[in-house]
Amino acid sequence: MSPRPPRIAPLYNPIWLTILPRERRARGAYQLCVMLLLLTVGWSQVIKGPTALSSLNYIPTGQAEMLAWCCVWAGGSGVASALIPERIIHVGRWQIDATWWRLVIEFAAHAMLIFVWAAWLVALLRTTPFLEGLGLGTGAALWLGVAAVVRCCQIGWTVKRALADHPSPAGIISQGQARNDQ
Amino acid sequence: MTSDWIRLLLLVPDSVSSRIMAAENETIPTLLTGGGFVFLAAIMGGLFLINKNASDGAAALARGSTELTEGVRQEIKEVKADRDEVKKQCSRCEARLNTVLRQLAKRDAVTNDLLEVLDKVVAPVLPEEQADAMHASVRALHTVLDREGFNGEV
Repeated sequence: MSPRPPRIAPLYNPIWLTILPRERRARGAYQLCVMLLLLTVGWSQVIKGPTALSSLNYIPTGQAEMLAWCCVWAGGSGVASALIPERIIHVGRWQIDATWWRLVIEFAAHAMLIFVWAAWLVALLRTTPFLEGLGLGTGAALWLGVAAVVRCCQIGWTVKRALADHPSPAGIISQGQARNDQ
Repeated sequence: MTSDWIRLLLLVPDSVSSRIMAAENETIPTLLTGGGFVFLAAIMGGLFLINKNASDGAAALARGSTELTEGVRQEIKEVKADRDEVKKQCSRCEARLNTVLRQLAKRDAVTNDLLEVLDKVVAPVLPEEQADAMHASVRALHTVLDREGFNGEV
């Protein structure tokens, strides 16, 4: 048995090692399961079409398919963003801060979801207008849309903190960071 | 489209809502197209941000490396100047040492000449006590010259 070759030391690449605040919000059970809901419902509608009592029966088939594919893309991106770790990953000799990619994909998913929930809401309102009552679907589409907007703002704030609020070299927690965290 | 939104937000009878449902409505595809554009724009914007961050990091590294290199160059220049100065002082000290060694050799040669003259010329014609005394005198003279720093030049 030949001796094992010496292990190549990982290439220290400080360009990719950035300081991003850790969030861990995408791993929340609610967010992850709503993404799974979108993914499963989207695939189901792509394969089987709208269910019998779905409001999507009252919009043209092409629009329903478009909405289903948007659900698949947004839900898949959301699940992916929950799976990407918030740390430096090693790809061969390279070290990449995956936090950036997680935030970008999660932001894209939520930005798309704002429109997806709005489209759901429009489809639902066509069968059940507001003044006829607020059903589960209408309420969910309305408030999950609000949640998507809030999440986009949160991610934007995180990126702003990482890019604009440079930490002071004078200490681990500088005065500026303390002020910005308030 | 505006009238559609108004109808959607109002309580309308079933007969009206069935007419609304039957009508062609471009709101949903418009929203979904917007969502698709926003998705792609967010991905592209994110790539831009990642690239910008990496570029800023690379620029900061390059700037720091340049400053470090310049500082090290300056240090090397100063150390070289110190080395040249020490070399010059060494040369001066060496020349002075050679001069002193030459002077000492001359002084020793004078003493040896005196002793040789004493041995070969004076001692044969003098009694032994006087010759020894003159020997001792010459050696004492050498000691005095040594103490006084005589450099051999007459």
